[in-house]
Parts: sequence; structure tokens; C-alpha cells
Amino acid sequence: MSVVQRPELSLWKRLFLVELLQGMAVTFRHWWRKPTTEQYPKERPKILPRFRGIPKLQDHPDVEGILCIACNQCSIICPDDCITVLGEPRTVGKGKQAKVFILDYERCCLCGLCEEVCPTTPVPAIFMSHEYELARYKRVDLMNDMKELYEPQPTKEYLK
Amino acid sequence: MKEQLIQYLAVPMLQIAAIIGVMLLCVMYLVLWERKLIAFMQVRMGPMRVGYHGLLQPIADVVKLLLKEDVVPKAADRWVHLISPIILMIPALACFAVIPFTGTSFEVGAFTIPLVNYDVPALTVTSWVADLNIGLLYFLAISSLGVYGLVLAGWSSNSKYSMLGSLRSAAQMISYEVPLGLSIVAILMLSGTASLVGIVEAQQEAGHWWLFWAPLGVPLLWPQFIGLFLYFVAAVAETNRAPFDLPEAETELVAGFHTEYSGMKFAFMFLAEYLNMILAALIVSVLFLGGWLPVTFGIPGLSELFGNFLPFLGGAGAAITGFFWLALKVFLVLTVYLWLRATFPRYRYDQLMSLGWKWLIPMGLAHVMVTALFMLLRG
Amino acid sequence: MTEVSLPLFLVFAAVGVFGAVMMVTRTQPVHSALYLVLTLFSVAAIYVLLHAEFLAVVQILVYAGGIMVLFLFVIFLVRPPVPGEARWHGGRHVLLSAGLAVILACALGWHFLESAPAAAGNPSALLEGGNMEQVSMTLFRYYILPFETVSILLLVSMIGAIALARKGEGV
Repeated sequence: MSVVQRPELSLWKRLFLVELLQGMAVTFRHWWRKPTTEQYPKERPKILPRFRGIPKLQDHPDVEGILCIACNQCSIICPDDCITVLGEPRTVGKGKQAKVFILDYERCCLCGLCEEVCPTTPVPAIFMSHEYELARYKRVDLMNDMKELYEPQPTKEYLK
Repeated sequence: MKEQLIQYLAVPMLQIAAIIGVMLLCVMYLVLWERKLIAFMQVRMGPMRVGYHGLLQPIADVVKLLLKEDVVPKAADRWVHLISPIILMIPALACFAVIPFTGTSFEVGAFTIPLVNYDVPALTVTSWVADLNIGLLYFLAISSLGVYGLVLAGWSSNSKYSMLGSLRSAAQMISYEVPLGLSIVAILMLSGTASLVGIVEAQQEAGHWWLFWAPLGVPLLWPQFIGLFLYFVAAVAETNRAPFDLPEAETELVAGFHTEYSGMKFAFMFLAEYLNMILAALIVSVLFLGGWLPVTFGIPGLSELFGNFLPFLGGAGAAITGFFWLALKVFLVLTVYLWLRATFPRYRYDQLMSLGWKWLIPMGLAHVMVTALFMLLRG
Repeated sequence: MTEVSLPLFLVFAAVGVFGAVMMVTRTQPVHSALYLVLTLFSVAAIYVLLHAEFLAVVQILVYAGGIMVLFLFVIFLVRPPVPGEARWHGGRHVLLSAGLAVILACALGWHFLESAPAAAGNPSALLEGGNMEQVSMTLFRYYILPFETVSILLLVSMIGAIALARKGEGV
């Protein structure tokens, strides 16, 4: 523990409350600054490229069919155990593809490990999207199957 | 008899109704202005969603408070719990009776109320409900009763936080009433009357606000600045506002004396606090800043220019102009009030007491002495 | 008294007596204090009816606004309020206090009946300036010495209270 010794104020400073007036000058200057508030639903924050929103699935034009190969690595590494993948033989070519892919947003902690371990090329099949509005009216709506994971979430425009 | 009945009963009733209505509206928008101003000083925006830039926010707040459930703690003293917001509210409203809002009175010609065919004789309506010749003392006496509301609210809630808040408020308000009274004594001596109307008229006669009373004609020697400072600090403490908001100290006592209040009762306490703020600002304006006199009063050539904005309305125009100047002064004083809240952290209890007793009271006594000395020297 | 002030007087007198009776009969000290405030208030109102505005305001300012708050403060601090703890003390006390009250009322009544016309004074002089000027003239011109003596007495008691409170602190 350290004891802070404040400097003794001079009589002049104490008599005319100089430090109090200085404090008031600070607040007065701030009064005229531009507010930093972001009017959220009306104005949306600028999202940086590496922002980790909720995980989504994607395909790639270079790969025919579904990009996910149902290797189950994302499901294994997921710390919250929120991914369930079931595979089936690929419709085109060799190997497997995802038949069922369920992601429980209620449990997801947005860590991004699933994206990191995803072995597919040229892009990971599961990726961290830029969507962040996770509020739902029902808990069940947070369990997303493959169809929902492919679709981008519709954003509502607020005018006021 | 009929004239008397109208003059002494009906007109004051209407005045009281008008004052209460206007003041409640003022309180609503003072709350909004407080939230906005503090937001600006914290580089935020404040309420923005209800109405244009939150202008309808006060109405939403009132509706919310009206619809809220009224919760009374099981161990509370129900009756005292019920009456303490009322005890807080009544003195706050009663003090407005002696405030002169504008100087010129309105002439109301004789007219007949339609439907009931009641003939009203010609009347002169003043802007104050009562011009008591002890107006200032009346204000001091009535406003000192507000402390009961706080003390009883805290006690009747039967909660530790409330009790601590009410004990603090009792000690604080009694301590700060002394410097409050002392700061006013000099004004009483200068005006030679305790009537608030008389005080403004004395300033009009003297040709300057009491704030700029320069004894012996020495420029920039304005002893009433000390008086204004003392009164203002004491008034901030009396109204339990930051930085002296120890009775409600939300960071330590939850909400202090009104922790256990909700709904309309809480709204009453809230209203009383803001009414007291407006009242303190009104008294500052009347005593030190020349009440309804224009801000340019005392500057040769300019004081007449701004005395009446609406000359085509005659006396009514002068009255409206006076009201405008008073409102402007009150607004500025209230802004300083809020500015203090946005700037300073809360005083500790011992600091509060030592400030009150060791600094403000000796300063007040010295202030009275110095003013008396100057008045004697001038003869 | 004018025709308006008589019914007002009756109302305030009734409220004052009611407050006094309630104050004595409550078992909760805080309630008693509140009823005492009510009584002080009605007495102040009666002062106003008697054109003693200054006295009324001082009554509210000093007694209701200051002293009673300190009473409440002491009640809160000295003992945690336990409702129903105080008991009715039975016949003997009632008889004693009733007897004392009757004696007091008789004495006061006799005094007023004897000296009523002389005590009326000069109302027209009193009406000027809310009699603040009269009070201050009397107090600070004719009775300045007793006034200052009383102040010194109060100062002595304050110093005494501080000395008692800080005993053993080496002061």
C-alpha cells in the first residue's frame, strides 16, 4: 500500500476555489464536444473484417456441392459442445458431405475454434460471420439447422 | 362581499392552480434538461427516442410512474410511509405563494362567465399569490419543513439504507439552514424589507442588482458575490443535490431515504426535490439577480430597451417581458446547478459537516459584518 | 376578530387540541413527535390570525423546523423504536395530570378575564410590517442586555455539551 501525499494548495488557490473552477471548466469544454453515442438500431456499428459474429456455413464456387465434408472436427473442438454434424456419402465425387448440421447459438461462445480447425479448401465451410443480433423470442429459434445456417440473417431497418 | 370573495378566494385559487400546473411542467422539463445537459457533458446524447431529441420523454416518464405498482414494505409504518411524500410536497409548493414572477400586474376588465351568466367585476391580478411583508422568512420557515418528509420517509420504511439516509438528511439540512439564513441577512439589510416584491423594488430603486452592489462606489468590489456563493452552496445542500446528495447517495445507500418508495409516492418525492431546486433558483434570481428586472438592468441606455418587448400590449407586454427575464435567470441558475452535479464527486459526511460549520457559517457571519460596515460607512 | 377569522380560529384550535391529546396518548415516540408538530402548526396559524405573522413564522422556523427535527433525530438515535413498548401508566398519573391541567386552565382563565382589555394593546401599530420591526426594536433596543445574556447562557450550555461529549479525549 502506498500513501499518496497530495501537494498542499496555496492560499490563493484555496481562497478562490481554483481547482473547483478548473473542474467546472473541464465539464464546460466537454459540453460542446460531438457526442460519441451511436444511435444503435438506427445507425449500425462499422464492423471490421476480422469481427467474429455467429458461425455460419458457406459453399464455394470451386467446389461442387456442399463444402462441408462432415469430418466432425468442429464438433470435437467446440468448447461448448454446440455443434452436431451427421454425414452422408457425397452426391458428387468421393468422400462425405454433411447431411445434418445443427448449431446451438444459445451455447456458442463465439470463440472461432470451429473455423480454425475446418480443413476444407479454399475456404472453411464453417466461418465466423458478421452477424451479431442473436435475440430471439423462443429458445428453440436459437437451434439452427443447415438450411438456416446457409441463409444470411435478414436485418431489420430502423428509421428512428 | 362578492368582490371580496372573488379577489381573496377565486383569484388566489386560480393563481395557485396556474402555478402548480406550470411548475409541474417545469419540473418535467427540468428533469429532461438535467439528463440532456449531463449527457452532453459526458459526451453522450441523453434521451433521444421519445419525440424529437427526447422532447416527449418527460411524458413517458410520468406515465411510467403513474402506472407503477405501489409497494409498501411489510414492516413499514404504513401511515407515516404514506404521508411523508405529501409532507415533502406541500412545503415545496407552498413556498411558491410568495414568489413574484413579474412586476407589472395584469388588468382584467369586467366580463361575464358564459353559461352561468356570472358577472365578474374588473380585477387587478398580480403575478404573486401573496405579497407577505415577511415573505423571505415565510420562505425560510416553510422550506425548513421539507426535512420532515425526508426524515419520516427514511424512518417509516424500516430499512437500514433509508434510515441512514434520513439521519444524514436531518443533520445536513439543519446545519445548512444556518448559512442559508446568514447569506440572506445582508440582502434584508440592503432592501430594508423582507417582502420579496419589496426586495426587487428596492433593487429597481437602487439602480442595480444586489449582486452588483458596490459599496463606496468602488468598482469590482461586490461583497454580495460572497452572499450569492454562500446562498447557492447552502441551497444545493438544502435540496440534497450533488455534490451534497448524501441522503440519497446512490452509490452507497442504494437510494437513501426513498429506497423503499415506488410509483406515485416516489414521483412525489422526485417532484418535491425538483420543485425545491426551482424554488432555490427563483430565490437566487429574486434576491441577487434582480427578479423580473431585465438582465441589462443598470447599464445606462440598455435597461429601458429590454424593459418591454411587446410595447403594443401595454402593461401585459411589460409583465410578459418581466416573466421572460425571470425565467431566463432561473434557467441559468438551474443550469449551474446541473453543471455542478456533472462536475463534482460527492462530499464525505465529515467533509460536509466541516464545510458547513467551519467555513460557511463563519463566512456568513463575516459577510453580514462586512455588509453592515459598508452600509454604515456610506451612511 | 373578524367574521372570517373566528371559524378559522375554531378550526385551528380544535386541530391544536386534537394534536396535543394524540401526542400524549401515542405509544410510538415518533408519532407523538409528529402530533406535536401538528399542534405547533395550529398554534402558528392562530398567531397569524392574531396578526402576529413574525411570531408565527419564527414558531415554525425554530420549533417545527429546527427543534422538532432534532427531537426526531434523538428519538432515532437513542433507542430503536419498538412500537407498543410504552404502556399506559394507569389511573394515578392520569388523575395527577388532569388535576394539574385544571389548575393551569383556571389560572390562565382568571388571568385573561382580569386583564383582557389591557392586554389588547394597539392593533393598528402591530399591523404595520408584520410586526417584525416592532419585535426587533423591542428586542434589540430595550431588551438588548437580557437578550445578550440569554445568548451567553446558550453559548455556555453549548460549550458544556461539547465538553461532556468529548470527555476523555484529552480536550
